[in-house]
Amino acid sequence: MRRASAPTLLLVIAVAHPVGGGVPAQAPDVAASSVRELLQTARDRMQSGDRPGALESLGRARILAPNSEEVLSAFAQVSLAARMLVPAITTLDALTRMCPTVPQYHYLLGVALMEGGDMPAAIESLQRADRLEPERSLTLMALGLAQNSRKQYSDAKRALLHALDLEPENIDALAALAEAEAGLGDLAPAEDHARRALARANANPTANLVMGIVLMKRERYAEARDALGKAIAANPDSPSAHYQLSLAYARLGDEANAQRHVQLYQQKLREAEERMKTLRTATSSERPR
Amino acid sequence: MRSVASLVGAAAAGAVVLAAPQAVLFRDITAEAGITFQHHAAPEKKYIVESMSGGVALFDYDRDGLLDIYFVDSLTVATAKDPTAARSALYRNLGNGKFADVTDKSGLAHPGWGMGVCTADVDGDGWEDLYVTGLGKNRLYRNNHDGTFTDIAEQAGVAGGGWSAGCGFADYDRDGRLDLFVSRYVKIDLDHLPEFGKDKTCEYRGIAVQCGPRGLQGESDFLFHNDGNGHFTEVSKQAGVSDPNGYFGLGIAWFDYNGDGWPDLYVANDSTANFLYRNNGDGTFKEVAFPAGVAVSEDGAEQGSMGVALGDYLNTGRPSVFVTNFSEEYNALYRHDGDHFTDVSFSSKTAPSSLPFVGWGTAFIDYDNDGLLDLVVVNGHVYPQLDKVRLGASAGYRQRKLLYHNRGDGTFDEVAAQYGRVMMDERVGRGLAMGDLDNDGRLDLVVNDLDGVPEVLHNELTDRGNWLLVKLTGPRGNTDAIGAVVTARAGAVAQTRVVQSGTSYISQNDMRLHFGLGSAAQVDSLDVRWPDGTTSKLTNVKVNQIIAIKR
Repeated sequence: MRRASAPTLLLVIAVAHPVGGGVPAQAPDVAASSVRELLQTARDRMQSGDRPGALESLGRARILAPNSEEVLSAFAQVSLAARMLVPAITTLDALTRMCPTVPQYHYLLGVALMEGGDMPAAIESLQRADRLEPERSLTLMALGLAQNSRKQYSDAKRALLHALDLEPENIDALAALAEAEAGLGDLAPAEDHARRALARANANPTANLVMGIVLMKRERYAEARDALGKAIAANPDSPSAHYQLSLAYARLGDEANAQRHVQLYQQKLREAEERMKTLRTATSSERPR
Repeated sequence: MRSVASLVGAAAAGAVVLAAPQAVLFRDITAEAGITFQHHAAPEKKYIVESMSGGVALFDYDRDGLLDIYFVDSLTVATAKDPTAARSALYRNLGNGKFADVTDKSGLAHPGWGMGVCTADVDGDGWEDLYVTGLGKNRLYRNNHDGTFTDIAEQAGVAGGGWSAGCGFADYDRDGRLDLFVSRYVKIDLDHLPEFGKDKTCEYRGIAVQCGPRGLQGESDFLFHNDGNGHFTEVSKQAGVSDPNGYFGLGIAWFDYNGDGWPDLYVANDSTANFLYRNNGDGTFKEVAFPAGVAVSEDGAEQGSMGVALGDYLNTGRPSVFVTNFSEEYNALYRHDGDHFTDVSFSSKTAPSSLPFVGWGTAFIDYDNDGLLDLVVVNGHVYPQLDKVRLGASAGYRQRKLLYHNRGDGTFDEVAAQYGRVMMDERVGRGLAMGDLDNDGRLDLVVNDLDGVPEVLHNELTDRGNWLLVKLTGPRGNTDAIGAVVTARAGAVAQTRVVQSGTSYISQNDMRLHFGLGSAAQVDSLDVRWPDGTTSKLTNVKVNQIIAIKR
């Protein structure tokens, strides 16, 4: 499982406002002023970095205006920013039903599902967002990331190349493109794109992971070990990086470290599965086996 | 919309391009051969135990030089208390393209809730015996030399219990006697079955489906040591292959992956990491799948592994491992690189086409005798309910086969569509066995289908190369020479094959070793490394023959 990169999420939550085109807000008149006040309070709290406080305000606003697109949208985005995935997904799921033609909600739902590790559902949401609003680099990049994690490397490569056409300087897209190419066995372009990403952000976890994988395939195990170590430093929760690092140590004859990273890999895998289980239990979206 | 007249006009003018005639590779001869077996399965597969059977074996039970076929049948929850509701079947090869159902005489009809099968001459009398796994007691059918078999599992100590799946014989301690490994799957209590669709863990894409294997308790595995007196002792714990965590064991393969002369063991586990047990040469094993690189997918995902095939597809002398997996995962090709394996599934171009399918039986098969091992996979989902929902990238419940042609450069082309209906028909494949049914030098396939009639697929490719089929006979105790490695050299090409008991998905291939030789006019040398470490060598061997080599 991959995690959506931090820059993506920052962009995602930059606008905690309704994007329009959906069902009008239905808050009762008597509560309207209170709802507006609560939304403003939530924005103020977000700006001061107080996410729990913002969520508390939005939760109260939801009670007053349970069908308000504005309130639900803000609640979902703040929940997502706070990595509270279950409320984010359930709220975004409701928003995509209320406002099926709003691409942003499908996009956000896709990102939330990616964060939760439900890649098949994420891909479906992101494809819907892409159909509704083509030529959006963020959507294409998220789609590429999700498709990479489902080993749909050819599709991912297509989406990521398109994203890079629209936003050539996007390091995460570049790193993800390298991952797709490595998956396809195209080691030379994978290494080239990973190196380009690392030249601009040397701690990028995906680019370091790809470098590790490429170097493993080239049997340059010591260099692979170092790259994978950097990938883990940037994203300690990555089962994939721990697994690859265990292989690198095994090839280098370091049985103890190989075993240690197998155990870390297994621990991270179980944690990811627990997150998936929580999501499955708490959400009504379609889920894979 | 175009008018009918305009379409007719276009056709008359030759504007409509007709599909090119498809080459014949395999022809389905099931009906004309007289095969009427039908595997039983509950239509809705509400329980996992109703969706995993069954295996198929190709073996020569009557020593007439022709491969016979044994299909394993299973009960259902509804028929569980009536062992006769399932009828496994033995078909005797009559040698004229026909088979005779000899099940009733053989005594092999009702092994119970059958799953898999493997064969070996267990008692060293020169006649093939049969081991059948299943839910409850397994069966060891001793060949009585007269077309009948007697179940001696209880007295031999190999009846096991629980839900057994894969099996295979090998002489793991090199004492000259065949031992037996049995993988087991999930703990199942027929009186307390997990309720269909009861919670989120029993859902697939939002619809209720059978529960498991995730969320259910797995079973440990068995290793039965042959004591040499007609009795076996279960030694899995002492040997280090018991799987105390209860991973969901299915397909297995014995092979000496590190070339030290001691049989090692690969176990495909559903939804959990796979095992590679390295034989320590002292009666114990060490599990090394992770450091060897054959435990999980390249990105560290535990896959739903079902079947296993071994093959020296690069002609390096080292067998690589191919594992079939659940849909939206990929079938894994682990290339043998000497002291470890590398997942080359995507770079070999076998993975992408496998993503929509749930893979089961599989074999490395040189179907065109060009000297390069190709690959075949039979597919079929476990959830019939799947057809009621939109599928995304996945195939439906019934699925086509996959056929990969080896390009000789480490990559494969998926060519099933070139060979028409037989390969593209959507079925619910499970067990697959490979062998030369008519001794014509072309490898045939037999598939057990969960939901219906099996497929006997006769290889009729006309544009093919020369061949050699090698039948080994070892000394008493291992007359099949299970574990022997044969290398055929023709010109600059050396091909290696291993004699195996139990492989694919809970099935048994022809134990004779097939070599496709392309245009080679002879085999320059044929080297045999026998299971006891001794060697034999033949030179200047004629092609297009079945050659018997006795130790």
